[in-house]
Amino acid sequence: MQIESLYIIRRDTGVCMYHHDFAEPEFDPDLLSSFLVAMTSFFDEATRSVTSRARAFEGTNNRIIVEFGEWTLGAISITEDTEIIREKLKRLIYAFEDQFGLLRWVDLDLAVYTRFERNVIEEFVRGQIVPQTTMYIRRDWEFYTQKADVVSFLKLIPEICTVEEAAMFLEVPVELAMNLAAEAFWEKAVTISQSAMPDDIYQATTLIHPTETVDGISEDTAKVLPELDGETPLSIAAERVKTSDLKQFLDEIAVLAQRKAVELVSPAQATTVLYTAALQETLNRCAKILGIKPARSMFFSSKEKLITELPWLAFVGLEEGVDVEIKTSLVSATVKGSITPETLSGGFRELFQEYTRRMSTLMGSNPVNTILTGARTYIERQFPSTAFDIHWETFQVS
Amino acid sequence: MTFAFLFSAIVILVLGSIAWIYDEQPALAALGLSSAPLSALIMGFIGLVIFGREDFRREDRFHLMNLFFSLGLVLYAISEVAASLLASQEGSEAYLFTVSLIQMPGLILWAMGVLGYLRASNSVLETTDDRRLVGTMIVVPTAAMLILATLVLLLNPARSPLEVLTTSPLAIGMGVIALALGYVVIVFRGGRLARPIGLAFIAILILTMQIVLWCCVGLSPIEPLGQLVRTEAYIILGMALTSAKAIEVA
Repeated sequence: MQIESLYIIRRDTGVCMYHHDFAEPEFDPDLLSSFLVAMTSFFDEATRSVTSRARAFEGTNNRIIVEFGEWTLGAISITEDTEIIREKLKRLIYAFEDQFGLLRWVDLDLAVYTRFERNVIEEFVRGQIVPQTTMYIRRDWEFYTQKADVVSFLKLIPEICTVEEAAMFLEVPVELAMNLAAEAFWEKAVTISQSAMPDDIYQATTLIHPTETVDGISEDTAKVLPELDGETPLSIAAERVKTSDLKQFLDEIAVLAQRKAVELVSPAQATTVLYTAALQETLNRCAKILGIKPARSMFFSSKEKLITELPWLAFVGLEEGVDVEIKTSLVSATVKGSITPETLSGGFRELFQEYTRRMSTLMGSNPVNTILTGARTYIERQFPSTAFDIHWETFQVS
Repeated sequence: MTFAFLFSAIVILVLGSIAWIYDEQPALAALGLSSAPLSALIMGFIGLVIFGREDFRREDRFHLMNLFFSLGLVLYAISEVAASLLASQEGSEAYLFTVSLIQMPGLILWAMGVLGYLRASNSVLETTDDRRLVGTMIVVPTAAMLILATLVLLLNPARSPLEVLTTSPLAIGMGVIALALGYVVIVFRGGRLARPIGLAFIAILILTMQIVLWCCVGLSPIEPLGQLVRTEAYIILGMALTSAKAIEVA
């Protein structure tokens, strides 16, 4: 998923009020905004709809997704449509309408570009910067940015370094370095690449065959490719093929990701894998004490109770024994991003709470809390950095 | 079904008490002789009907423990019948050896079920190291068996060494099962799981006391009062099995 450009357009006149190109400019903003307003008006007229029905316009290499505010229309040129991006776009439109509401009635110079920049950075750039993100300073970066804090930041750090290393180098808090890196990236003074983390989940594409020798990639890493099935964290995949040097392995995976030989799964898919692993471990432990039948029956009754509120839980089931099964429909929704990680984690959290409550009626609260502690330790070993996304303390019973 | 078991346990207890108070020895003997094997057999079959129908799953230790309890009950029914049939040879060394030998398979099955379940629970709850637990389960009963046999023989030299040596493994084995069940009951005391395991604990405790009395003071296993007490224990174990079934459909 790569965002190319962002446009905020006035619906009644078709004037583009704000636009930003994250990559090389692709469309003329005025041309595009007139086209979008004309097309959405056509749809509304044709379908006699009060609310606009248009959702996206698709080209060969990318598509333009649209979302509607009260008097504005937001559009993003993107390679892949996901619900998360749409949510972000909606938030931006509402923020814009709120901040520049006056523009609905009068045409004034409100310094939209400089004042709205912060919101766009927060929504689309800041989230991409983590302490492990590697920054590559462009050779002619001085031509791209004039911002004093970004200039002094880039002057002092090495040409290639992670955000964390930059923070250590400058002896500033990592949070501050992340903000500066986001601004530098926004100004196009740096390019970034994400390092692979042990609990990242990658999926191998078919570009490289496992038996093929690849430049700069060790045999060990090539062997891991079949293990990258979109469900296995890198740490476990590395363990399976007994990788000797995890750091080198992670670096090589990052290289493979750049070459599109492997790709990081969507955040929703990663959330599903994390919660599925946690649920599986808890069910296994519960089944050891209560037996398979009660563990299964409690799972289904917990699910049944929540299914009206969380219909997607219908796609979470159990195979033989207590093996958790995520049905293809849900997997494909997570891949497409049509279900958000927040929805998934909220649902899984409720399922966990209901399940542990039922477990405690059978075995008492202390054993249940011990089971949760054991499962948590196991998950923290498998997913060292994302395990903390699960709020285990909310599952505890008293 | 639990109430039916409770009712039958009370009826047998009342009938036995009346026969004992009025000194009706033949009636008491007939009641003991018939009720002990019958109750063990019925409870065993009920347990097998409940837990024996499904696929055998080695990793499902709770199910397996209940299945082993049921099988053990059937074997105890056989041992009860054998003890009654061999009653004419009571006191002889062959009698003691045969009766305790017949009880051994049932005891081994119960021990496998309960100790397996204890290990499975311990692996989840991580109360103690598994190797230490297995070591304790082997070393402590063996040592206790030898100490018990030595003490009984030292304190009562008139007792037959064969009788003491054959009954002490039974007493210690049953005692270990009772201890393991007692521990599991304490661990799960806050939940409904404590009920079936607690009932099984009571039943095994009664049987332990009986075997300990046989081992230490030579109380005969075909004593009518002893048979009635064992009948109660078998019925309580049957109640434990039906209660465990209720957990499975929770």
